Amino acid sequence: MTELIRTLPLVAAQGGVLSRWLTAWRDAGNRGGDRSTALPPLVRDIVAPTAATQGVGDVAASRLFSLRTIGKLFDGGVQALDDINLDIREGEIFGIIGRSGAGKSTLLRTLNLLERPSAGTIEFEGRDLLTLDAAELRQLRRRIGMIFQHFNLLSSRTVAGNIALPLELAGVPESHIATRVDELLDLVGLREQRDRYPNQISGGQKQRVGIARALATEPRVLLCDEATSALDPETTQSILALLADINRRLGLTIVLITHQMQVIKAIAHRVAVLDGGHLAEQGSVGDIFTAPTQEITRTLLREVIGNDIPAGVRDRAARLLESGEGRIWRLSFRGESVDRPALTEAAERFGLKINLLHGYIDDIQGMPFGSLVVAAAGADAVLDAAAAFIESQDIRVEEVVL
Amino acid sequence: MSPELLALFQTSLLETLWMVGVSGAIGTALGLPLGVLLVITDQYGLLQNRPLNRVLGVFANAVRSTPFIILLVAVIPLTRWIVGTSIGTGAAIVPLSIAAIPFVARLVESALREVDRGLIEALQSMGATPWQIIRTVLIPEALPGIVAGLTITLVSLIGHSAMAGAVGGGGLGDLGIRYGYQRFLPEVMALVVVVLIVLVQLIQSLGDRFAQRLSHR
Repeated sequence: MTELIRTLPLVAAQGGVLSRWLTAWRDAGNRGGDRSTALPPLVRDIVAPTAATQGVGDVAASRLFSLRTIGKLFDGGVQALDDINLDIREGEIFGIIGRSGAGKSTLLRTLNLLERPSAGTIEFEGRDLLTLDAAELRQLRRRIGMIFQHFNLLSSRTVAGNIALPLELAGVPESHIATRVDELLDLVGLREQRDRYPNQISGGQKQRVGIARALATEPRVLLCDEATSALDPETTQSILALLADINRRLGLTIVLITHQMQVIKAIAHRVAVLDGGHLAEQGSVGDIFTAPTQEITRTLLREVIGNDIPAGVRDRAARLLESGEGRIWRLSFRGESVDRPALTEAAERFGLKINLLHGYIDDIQGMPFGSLVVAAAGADAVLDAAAAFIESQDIRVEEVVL
Repeated sequence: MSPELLALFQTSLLETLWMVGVSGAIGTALGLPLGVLLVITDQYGLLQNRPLNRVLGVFANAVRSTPFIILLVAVIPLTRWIVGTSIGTGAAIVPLSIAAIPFVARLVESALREVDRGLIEALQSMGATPWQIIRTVLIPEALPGIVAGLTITLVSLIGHSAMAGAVGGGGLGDLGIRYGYQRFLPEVMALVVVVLIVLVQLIQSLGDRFAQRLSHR
């Protein structure tokens, strides 16, 4: 790392500096270092005022954003956000999900103060955002990129012109802008569309321009405001893949809001569930998907995982229960427990008769998880013992009351 | 048509073009900033300033609601102070410009309001200053609409300039009234009207084509 910084001025003197430091920037990010020091001096001075980089390297380093008791009361008396506490860690993809009107957009926009909260504090890189004056805030916003549902590209500028815009605003010299724009076009795979206007390209391409534009000033974080909601499913996948790729390769923190659980499932590491301006729950995507504690979360999950027992299956289960002793269980498993033959073992060991009613197995970012609904027939004592055994195999057992 | 009349015709046409051109330029130079101010100072604008917005709005409405023929006479003291005389083509430019400023301002205002708020927000998220937002988003994005507005302004200035004869401003309208109507030369009147129609058509189609070329929506 230090070696890298020392060689940078030399590289700069030889020209072609931007393409080289982009690599350096990625490498620094991947090593978990402070990327801003890998920027060429010129860009670093413009986009990263020294004060803003303080806090990186100390205890708070892994926390990029810290929100405490954030509230937002709109003029009309609508409480859009109430007592929101959350931390967003460096390098993660943090998802915020909720129905429309849950306050997720307001919450996202408080992160760069497009919306000023009426209560609470927001720290970014250890600095209190709410105490910044207008000029400091503008400086800081260059370190927080943002993309939008409707792309918000300038129709009067070409693809390249749109990507160049934040660099022009930051006062980066023209010669550097051209090189940087080309690199960004390559990053998002739009080199061919360079001189086209936004009305001549597809929705997915527009969002790629939005991403390139947001990344132009080497932000520390990318805020995504329903970035895929206006796109068809296939394009959504490609944009999500690009975001995940950028997160991995550049180590860029991403905060996204969405009403689609598929989006969270596809790329988020951690997720916060908003409901009526309150934070219903938050946690790793694995935890939230396999063990949601709030009704709102279960409702939202229904969209991606068939947690509901279909009516026909319910009727069959009811008949099975009437015909003899037994219980209906929902078994939830995740990770390695998927591979254990716990159910067969329980059946053999306790002499249970197990009837499979309903089930699925899915995968969140490589971690398998699933749920089975079964009818287990046997005496109460046997069933209790069997349930305890299955739980000992890291499988959650819930009795389903019909 | 006699050679003298033809020469007179040529002079009148040039006078009209001169009056419309200069007052159009002055109207744009002052009306454009006024239109921008009307947008950015209003309730949800970039630089909210309700009192200033109210004052500018009242000024624009007051000028626009004054019939041009009255404005022409009412501003004579001002005209005399600026041009040195209240008679002639130069003198007619003052009231024409005064009429053009709020006209342009209102058209610019409505063009600017068509700009998607999301674009302004995107620029704010990049750390743009209000002036940068005006320069890089508001005006470029509204430019096709502004050009269309300026075309309308020029066309209506041609109409207004016909009244300039009242202060000896000359121009085609004056020619039509004095020769065509007062001296019973209907063919002069007809020719004036035909030339005005062609002129308006020309300006309108050039303006439309220019606006079309600027638009990438």
